[in-house]
Amino acid sequence: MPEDYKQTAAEPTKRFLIGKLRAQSLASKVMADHYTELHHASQTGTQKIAWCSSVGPAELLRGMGFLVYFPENHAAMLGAARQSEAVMRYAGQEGYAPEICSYLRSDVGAFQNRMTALSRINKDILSPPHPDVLVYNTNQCRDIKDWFSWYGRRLDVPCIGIQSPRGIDEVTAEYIDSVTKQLQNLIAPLEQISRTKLNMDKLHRTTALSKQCSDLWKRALQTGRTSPSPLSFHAALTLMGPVVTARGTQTAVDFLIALNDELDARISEGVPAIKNERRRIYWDGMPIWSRLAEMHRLFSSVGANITASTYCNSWIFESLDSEHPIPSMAKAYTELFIARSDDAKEQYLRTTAREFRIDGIIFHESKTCPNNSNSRYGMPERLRKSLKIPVMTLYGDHVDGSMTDIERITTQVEAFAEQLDEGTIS
Amino acid sequence: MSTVFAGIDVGSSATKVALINSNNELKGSATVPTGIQFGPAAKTALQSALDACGREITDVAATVSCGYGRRNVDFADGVQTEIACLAKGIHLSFPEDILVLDLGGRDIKTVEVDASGTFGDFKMNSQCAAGTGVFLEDLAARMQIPIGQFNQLGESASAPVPLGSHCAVFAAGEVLAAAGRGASIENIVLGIYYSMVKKVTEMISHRHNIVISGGVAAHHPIVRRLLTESLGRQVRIPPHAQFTGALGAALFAQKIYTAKEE
Repeated sequence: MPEDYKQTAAEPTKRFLIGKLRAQSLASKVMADHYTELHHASQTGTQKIAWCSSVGPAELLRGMGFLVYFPENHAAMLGAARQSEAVMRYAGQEGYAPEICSYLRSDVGAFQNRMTALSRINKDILSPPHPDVLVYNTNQCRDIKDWFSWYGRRLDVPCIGIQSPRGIDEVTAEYIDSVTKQLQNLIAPLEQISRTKLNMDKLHRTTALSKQCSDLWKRALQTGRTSPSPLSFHAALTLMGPVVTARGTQTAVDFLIALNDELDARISEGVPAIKNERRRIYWDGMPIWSRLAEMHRLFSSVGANITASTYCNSWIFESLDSEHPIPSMAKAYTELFIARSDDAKEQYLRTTAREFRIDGIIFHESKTCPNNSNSRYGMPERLRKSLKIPVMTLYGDHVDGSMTDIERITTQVEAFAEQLDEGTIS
Repeated sequence: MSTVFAGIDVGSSATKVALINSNNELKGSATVPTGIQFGPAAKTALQSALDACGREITDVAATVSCGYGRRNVDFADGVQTEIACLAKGIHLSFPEDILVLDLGGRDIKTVEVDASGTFGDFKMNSQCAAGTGVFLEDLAARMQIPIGQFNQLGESASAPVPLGSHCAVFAAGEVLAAAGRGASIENIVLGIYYSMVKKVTEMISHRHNIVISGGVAAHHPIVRRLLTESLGRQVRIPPHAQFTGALGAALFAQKIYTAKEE
């Protein structure tokens, strides 16, 4: 047996990885400050706290002086830290079936079990900040309302929100008017809870900062159009924390300026996100939070970089307009990818795949997130035909590790890489 | 004695080895239970295959591994997924546009292969044992029937007992209920095969010529017959169905060796 060919099996994957962006450490600090501020307010009662769904009316809440807490971010943290597995059963005991959103089950289960992922950030934080109000938008799914309603009953806190249209082909004036009216209807109860009048100047400023945040996030994600890309999906997911939780603040803007500077520097210095980027992948669907690092190593080991994703792009709100904050919020939150029809989604995926010069698309069919799983009605097959590139579906879950078979996923991803690069010996 | 190229498919149930010569002829093969020690299983299977054709380890010019335990074969010269190897292996027997349906112990896979041997789209079953070898083995164990008798029992049946579930656990309940109602063992077994075929046909595109491979295809020829009936077109099987992936791996080994020689 020729000795020269030894050691090709079980190669260490570390050699495919590039060091972290400095902005990832900055993101961790922004998140730590964010949760510490919320914790302080919760302990002292110095500022009202609103819980908000991740694409809920955060600008409106900030405009009224609320500190804003996003339970979905907490659920993702539970998933990423693999803390969900131990607590989801407590949600089951509350009557929540194992087939429904594992974000909901993780978060509710953690609360029932008196634990929180926030303790990993700051050991003094032993529970999520106590809310004064719970504000949802069903633009992403119905589960968010169920989730917030549970807390409303459990904590005896008002739970209000927006019932968004879903499955939208064209975002018409009727849809926007409906959501605009619902947003306006939130103002009176929120004023009552916050005991302050809505400060329109503050709302304009917050919306302007949100728009700036969105523009900077879009700019950062668009560096993925460069070959090789300076940004990986893994990095983008860790950088998203401030984009989700701090949008509408100067902190988020400052963070994103620093991120863009660093990405620009990487491009000019030719520093890629992964070594040997040979395949550029589009990821549709939820991330697999419980396996983030492993997935990053897996993709990197086969020279594949996920250079664009529906998930990260979903926090780009192009329609926000500080001159018309409430109608523009209504439009931005209604034209969201997840709220659209399959036709609109398919068109978006086609356009984005071409824009980012994608070699292959991967759909993640998340077992407990049907609303963000787009592979069930033939879309992969249609995109394969129209784009003439390989398209594959992976089965897993965004948080529930018991529904994610990493061995099967490994085989599929490696085979997908082989398909993209037929005949290469690993 | 001329050199050979080894392909080792470390599957979830069985480890298969195929040895080919430079003319792509199968010279030796062996299969051993994989167990949980992938590396030793690969070594044992390779030695058995060498013994079967009277060759020594020094006759092996290059080795490629595939399958679940592919990364544990530390003496392999290359690693490929079983999907790429299936495509390569099936093309050897069927050099045409084809869809290979591999029925393994734990997985069902479909791989499209074109006339040049290039593989295209592939699918794997979701996280469910329905339609796999484990599905048959679990039900055989529940019925206390050696799995080796299953095929003959199915072929002896007069009418299948309809089973509503593809799930091995729920199907077992239906099997027990059917037995309680007095259904014959043969008809129950045929019902199990029908259930399996119904499940796997969901993964098959109607555009392709179909070839089946894998341990289930090799040891349960009734599946091929039922698939042919169900699809209304001929389903074919390669000569060494269980070794299709291993053969493909051996072809990759040959490619490594040739590249080195050049």
